Amino acid sequence: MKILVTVRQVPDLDARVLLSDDGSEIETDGAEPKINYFDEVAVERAVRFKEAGEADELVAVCIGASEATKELRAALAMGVDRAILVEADEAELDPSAVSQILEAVVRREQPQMVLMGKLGVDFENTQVPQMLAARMGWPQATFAFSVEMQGEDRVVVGREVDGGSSYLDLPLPAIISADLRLNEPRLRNVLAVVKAKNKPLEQLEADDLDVEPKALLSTLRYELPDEREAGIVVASVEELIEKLRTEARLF
Amino acid sequence: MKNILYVAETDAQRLKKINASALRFARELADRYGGELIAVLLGAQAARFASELACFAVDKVVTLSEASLDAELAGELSSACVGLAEAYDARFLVTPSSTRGKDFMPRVAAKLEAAMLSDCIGMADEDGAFRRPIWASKIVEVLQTHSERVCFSVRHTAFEPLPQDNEAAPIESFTFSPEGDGARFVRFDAVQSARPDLTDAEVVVSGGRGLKNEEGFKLVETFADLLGGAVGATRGAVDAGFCPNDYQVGQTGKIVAPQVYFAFGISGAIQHLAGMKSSKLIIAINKNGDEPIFKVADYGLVDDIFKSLPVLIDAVKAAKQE
Ligand SMILES: Cc1cc2nc3c(=O)[nH]c(=O)nc-3n(C[C@H](O)[C@H](O)[C@H](O)COP(=O)(O)OP(=O)(O)OC[C@H]3O[C@@H](n4cnc5c(N)ncnc54)[C@H](O)[C@@H]3O)c2cc1C
Ligand SMILES: Nc1ncnc2c1ncn2[C@@H]1O[C@H](COP(=O)(O)O)[C@@H](O)[C@H]1O
Repeated sequence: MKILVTVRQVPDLDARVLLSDDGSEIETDGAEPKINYFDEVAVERAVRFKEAGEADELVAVCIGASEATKELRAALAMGVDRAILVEADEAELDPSAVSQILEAVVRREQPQMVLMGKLGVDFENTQVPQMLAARMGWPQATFAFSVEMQGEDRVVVGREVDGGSSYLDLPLPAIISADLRLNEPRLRNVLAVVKAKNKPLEQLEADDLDVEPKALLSTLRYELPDEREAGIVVASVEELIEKLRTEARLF
Repeated sequence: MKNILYVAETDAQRLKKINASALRFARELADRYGGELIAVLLGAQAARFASELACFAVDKVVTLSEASLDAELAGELSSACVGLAEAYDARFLVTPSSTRGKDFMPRVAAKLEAAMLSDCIGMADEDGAFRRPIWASKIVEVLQTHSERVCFSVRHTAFEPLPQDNEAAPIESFTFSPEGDGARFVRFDAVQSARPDLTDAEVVVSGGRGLKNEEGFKLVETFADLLGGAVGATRGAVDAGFCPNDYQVGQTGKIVAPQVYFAFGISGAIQHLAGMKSSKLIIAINKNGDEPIFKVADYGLVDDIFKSLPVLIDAVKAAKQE
């Protein structure tokens, strides 16, 4: 089985954020960007499939700036065989445009499974996997906490959904998006990082794939939400009980 | 294309409460952009909840009674929504941003070549522009749409529930055979709980890793039960095995905005704050006064949770006996 995994570079959310004066840009305090955590989980699942002999080729793909090769190298260091960067300015794309480019990559690579993250932690769209599935006409399973092969051509996915866990049985090829608890991604050791430098990393542009991605959304501006007013620190549990009874009238 | 299609969410027993808030946004769309607000119920039980849904300020209720939709598979749901969008001339398609809505609505958007806004929190001044939170709710993004149709999942915590006191709107049924994509439903393991739903509860009592273990976490549950509240948790508490993952509140868990939110032994990581900082009143107890949870708390107490929570529990018990 051949698996395609998608990877994105995201900013460090713990960094302090500022907006430019006109609200057109988000500025972070020089914090290092990193691999989207959910994509790291997706890569880990793919690598485990290969280790178990259930997958023979793993390909990672990213649509983004050339700096994102760092994240593709991280995926290679985890055990992915080769990587593709489709160079693009993410600010000009939206989930729809990204899914169009990914569709072209999927048609070229013909994987049996596409493993993705459930969301990008910065923009939290939670859309690209579902849109890609729609474009391909393939079944989807989002928010996966377990992904197990069922014979050669089916996969059973456990999904984290409101109110419990839902299990789906999908024929391959299929699109799966990873949730937090699918696994704990491995640490990348120095040797693996060095070896990853020699693995193939192809750089393309959307043109090379014959797609003209069309974004249906553009950002007008960013705003800061209203901050909560500062509260008070009470001196004792007795004072807290008093507040809850008299001010909040909770009991 | 002119109408607004609202796709309601139900479970086996009821029309979920989050509909009332998400419908507020759909109503605002209809008021600003014109067209009818058509609320849709999908699944074998569709007709059961129709009269209830008809009493919100909607113009029509449409039921699509199809058992194949009960498994909530994205393939069938999106096929049904595309069928409805075409039959009812929908310009906007709206549903709550639950795991169900987030799963199927982007698939609808791709099929309709429509822009998709996830977790929408409202309209912007510009025509065809909308607002949504990003970066774990640290920032609001204002987006312009460039498509004839637009799909939304709505963050219900951003809207006051629509009252359910209107004269009943007409109800009609729609016949359509949704097409699947080959996925088969295997089973659903429900988290059994007698407590209110996290997303609807007036009071949420959440515990973090500070509760130490499952035993410690029981204090949180006891306190929640005394107040008739729901139990929430951090990823820290879930991963440590104190409670089921369905309890997780935050960027990758549930988004809640109850009247009162208790945060016990929770540090206040940005991913947790993203899920609860719109709560009306926040109360935090943590033994370390420097933790970020105190930045959002209305009442904070710096104390050992194992000392203070039992006192709180006794106080509520005593008050109940009065
Ligand atoms: C991609 C991603 C997504 C995430 N999504 C979520 C999410 O949706 N929800 C979420 O919650 N987290 C999420 N997290 C995790 C988040 O970053 C934090 O790790 C987590 O919220 C911490 O949980 P905690 O507050 O229970 O634990 P800790 O941060 O370990 O805090 C425990 C707290 O308990 C206090 N404490 C200890 N003992 C006592 C005592 N005896 N009395 C009183 N206080 C005590 C400590 O002072 C400390 O503040 C996510 C992380 C990532 C990377
Ligand atoms: N530019 C991109 N390049 C590669 N994968 C992407 C890109 N954007 C989104 N994805 C994938 O889609 C998942 C969901 O992203 P989103 O829908 O943007 O929240 C991510 O976790 C990635 O796996």
